[in-house]
Amino acid sequence: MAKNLQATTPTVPDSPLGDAVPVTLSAPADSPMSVVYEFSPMFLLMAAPRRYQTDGDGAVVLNLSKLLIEPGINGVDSFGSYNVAVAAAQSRGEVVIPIAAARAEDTPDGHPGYLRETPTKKGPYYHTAWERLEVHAGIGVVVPVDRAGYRRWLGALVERGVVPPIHASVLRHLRDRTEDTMQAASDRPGAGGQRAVALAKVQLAALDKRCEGAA
Amino acid sequence: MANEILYTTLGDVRLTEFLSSEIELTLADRYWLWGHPSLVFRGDIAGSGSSTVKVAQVGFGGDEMAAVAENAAVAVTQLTTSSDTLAIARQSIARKMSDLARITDTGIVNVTALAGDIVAAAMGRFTSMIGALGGGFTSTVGSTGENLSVDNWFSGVLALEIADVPGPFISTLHSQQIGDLRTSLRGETNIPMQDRSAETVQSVGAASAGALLGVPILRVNRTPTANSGADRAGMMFARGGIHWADASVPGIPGVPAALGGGGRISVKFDTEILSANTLLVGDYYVAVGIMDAGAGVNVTTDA
Repeated sequence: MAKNLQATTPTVPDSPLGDAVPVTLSAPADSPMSVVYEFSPMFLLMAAPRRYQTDGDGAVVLNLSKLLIEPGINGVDSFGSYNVAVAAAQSRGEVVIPIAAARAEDTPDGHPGYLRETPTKKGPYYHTAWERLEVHAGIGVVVPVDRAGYRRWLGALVERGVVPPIHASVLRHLRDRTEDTMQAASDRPGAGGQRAVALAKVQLAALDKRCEGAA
Repeated sequence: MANEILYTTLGDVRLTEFLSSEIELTLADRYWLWGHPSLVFRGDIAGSGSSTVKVAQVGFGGDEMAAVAENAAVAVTQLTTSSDTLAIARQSIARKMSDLARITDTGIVNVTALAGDIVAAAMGRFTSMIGALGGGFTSTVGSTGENLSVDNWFSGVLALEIADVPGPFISTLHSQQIGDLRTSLRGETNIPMQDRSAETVQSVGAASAGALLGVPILRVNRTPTANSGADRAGMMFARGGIHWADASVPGIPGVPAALGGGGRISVKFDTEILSANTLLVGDYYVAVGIMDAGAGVNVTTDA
């Protein structure tokens, strides 16, 4: 039987973004702290102008990175202050996304904010609202991901002006890289080349369509 | 026949179980990157006057001359500079053992072993901190939700070369990504992956999982998730992409090292005499960071 996780709300340290951001805490319903799971510190999500990916269907996906709020990592100091880390990211043209940028209607659990915290034996495990840690007897930890919901939120970030839309040059780069991959794969003998060509064809068709729309 | 001497009747002089003198380690990621040559070490900052190291980058050799007319005033070219800071912070672990637990020790779980375990805990923490940097470079190869493939690998190497990142490159990947890459290779001909061997281990350390296209692969299961848990954010980078620094805790004059806890990984002991416990506290003061977000690519593929 899976032990699902419930939500409550602590806070992260004062945000340099100007708002005290709420964090939703997830805790195993019947056996808190029962899980030994991997290291994942508190984080803010960041968007970079060139950090995009495609999926298997060629849809362009904003690839958010994590600005870890963990003393000792990327300029976060002993007091948990991450002003320097935020400034460094912003100087690279990255957009630090406020936790409150996820509204209640964006998240599967209906709580605002994109950050969730699950207590484990190793300490808190931080994750996004679209992930859920489940403990299954004899199997261990399983993390179902609401990929569709997450992708909808990524789209909403652009619609709401939190993140600028993808630049045409980045889109073109993705398209050209996919085309290069397809050409290189078509020259390769064997099943691997065939698989790569099939995947790249699908992606390229979608990217061509997207590029036409952007032109 | 009666009054036989049987094992089942010797409860008073036999043990229900005895502890084997051999112990096995529980499953865990014990590949450590501490001191790895691909990571730039900025030194031990003890005694420097600050807990923060600022490392400057200067664009010497990056600007070239341009043709200018004989009598034209040449425009002044700005020198490119940037910097990154490493803020040393305390990482710590504590253990507590009762006197009765120490009395009954058979030589396996004791204060000495726990002190050694603290060193391993520091190494593991360092590796987690390095792995947690995955996803922090400014460009990404791989498709979300799709397995890592040979083509992604070519794209990663190419992206670094186009960005003028000097090789040799190195990569850290989650085991799932390594498995996916191997699966991709099964469908290829003439693209051999160098398996983990004594040579690769000697070259890049115990975390070696082999090499592909001359890029060593380090297995780091602490590689973070990305795209809301759908993927893992491994990375391919060159030396200079990631740096770190640490700080030794000064010893206390006149106090034995074991009590004063000096050193890079400081282990201090204390006793709770009222409750008959021995405490061990291990501290490691360290900082890690991405030095140049363009000196690597994220290898973000299906988890």
